[in-house]
Amino acid sequence: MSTKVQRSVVGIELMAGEECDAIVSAVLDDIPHASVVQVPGMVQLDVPDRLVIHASAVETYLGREWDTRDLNQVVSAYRGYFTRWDEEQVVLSWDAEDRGDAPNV
Amino acid sequence: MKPAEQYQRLTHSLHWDPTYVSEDAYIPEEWRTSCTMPDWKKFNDPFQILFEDYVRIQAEKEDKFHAVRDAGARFGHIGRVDPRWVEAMKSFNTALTYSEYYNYRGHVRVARFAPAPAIRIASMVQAMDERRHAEEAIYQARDYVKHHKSGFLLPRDRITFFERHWYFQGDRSFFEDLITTDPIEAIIGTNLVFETAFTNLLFIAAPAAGVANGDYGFGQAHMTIQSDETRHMALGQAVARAMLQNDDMNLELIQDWVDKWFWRCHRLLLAVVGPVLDYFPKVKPISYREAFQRYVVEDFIQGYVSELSQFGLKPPRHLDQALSELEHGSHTIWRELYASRKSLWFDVHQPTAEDIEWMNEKYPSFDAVHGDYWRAVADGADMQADSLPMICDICHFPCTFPEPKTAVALPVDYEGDRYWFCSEGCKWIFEREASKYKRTIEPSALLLGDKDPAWVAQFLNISPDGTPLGGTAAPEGYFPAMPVPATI
Repeated sequence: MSTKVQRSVVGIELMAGEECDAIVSAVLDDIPHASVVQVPGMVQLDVPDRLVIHASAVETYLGREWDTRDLNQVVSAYRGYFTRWDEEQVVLSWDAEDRGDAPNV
Repeated sequence: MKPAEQYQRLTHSLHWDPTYVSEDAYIPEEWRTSCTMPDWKKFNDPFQILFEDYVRIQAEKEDKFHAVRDAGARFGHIGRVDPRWVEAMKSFNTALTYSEYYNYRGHVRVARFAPAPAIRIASMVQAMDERRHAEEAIYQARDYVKHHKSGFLLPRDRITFFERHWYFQGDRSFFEDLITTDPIEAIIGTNLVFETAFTNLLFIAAPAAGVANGDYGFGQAHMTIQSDETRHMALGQAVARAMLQNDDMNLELIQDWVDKWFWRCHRLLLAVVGPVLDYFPKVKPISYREAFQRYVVEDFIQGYVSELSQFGLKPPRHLDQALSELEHGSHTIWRELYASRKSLWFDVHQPTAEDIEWMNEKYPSFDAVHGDYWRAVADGADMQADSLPMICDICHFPCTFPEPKTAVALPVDYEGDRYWFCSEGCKWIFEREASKYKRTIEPSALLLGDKDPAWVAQFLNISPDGTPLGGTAAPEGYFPAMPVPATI
């Protein structure tokens, strides 16, 4: 657990739909014990410490190209800091210096 | 060109320092921030949104909202929204329309007077967001008028209620206060406290309740509104962090602003959104207290505030008082509304047996404190307030907290006048900036003075059977509650 905060959980709340399903599936591949809760019209996705969304993984589940900037269309709430948001990764972390995962070689 | 370079060009290159006019003429002292930074130009908005991306993304959000509205009209969903939920919208949608519009005005002002180029661009974009939100609320009001048999409010009644009715002066004074602050206070109050901690209760918990009661247009509108808030939250967090990191002198100001806006948000949301989660909906997916625990306590206090504690920020000054009000807050305000139901334009229902069962499950002391009241109503007691409630001179909600039997009203004498407050939080806010709030004239005291009941009814825009009078003409002797200085 991160020592930077009292409660080290990061997460996003997404409008339910195709993009939401693909993002949740992509995250579950990396973090199988992530908490996924359905509420009317939405999905709440919470994980300990940090969350990395890899665009390539979301694209695989969607079966089409996906621009990470479009995450803003479906994320309605979040907890943690967005410390990186570029073409490859979106990183949500309580460590303000978290620059994301090392690139896959 | 890479987006990051393009962003630099479109923010920092669009900013210039004035040479023909003095600093005083460029940013009058009234609108200049008291915060300090070694170099405001080095501050960057974490989102770094480019205008062309903004327009594309927002257009898609709008298309999706209007698709849901169209479907609701085409297939009849709007007409089938649960009537109790539409009563909630007669209150909430009206408050929201004007609140969003105020926020739009506030951010246009921040865009003009904030010292950092990146804050100015982000606030300009945010102003457009807030304007979009106000317009979505208006579209929804139009849909209820056109497709629901609930007798929804027409525009002239909506604005009259917002300007004059006692139940809405809390909302109005909150936003008039918010848009007349130091520009960095506006960012801390709006983006850090209101939007990071509290708007999730409005735009996530409330739409979940809306969807559960058949209002898909409301669900879609509010989830897309809250998706804009993600940008606003990131700006608020970055501004707070930069202020605290770069100059120790800022800590006291940021702390005061967090303390003040935390209490104002708590009071406004408890009084207006509490009933929207706990009372109006027939199907209730989340209680106000559960939503507060998730978004305010776990995310804001145990997350953001605890992370910023490394720079000296403490939890809000009146946090414990806020937490201690949650058990009875929404029940207390509903009783106040029920007693005043003849002067309200939405239906304040007597809770059903199912409602009471749910209250007892979610709020363990409900029966001990409120059970007898509703049993008396069920036995035929009238429970009509014979006068308008006594209103707090800061939050403008009734002095009825924490619950009617133990309600407090705290006096402060200032420049020969006595002011009354519903709580330590509101009293503290007044004492910190008494000269700002002393000009406030709240409608209750005014109305209770020497006005006859017919004048009062006209002022509140309510006919004796509770329907709107349908007029915007103010009765003689009316004057606005709180004058707002010209913005630009």
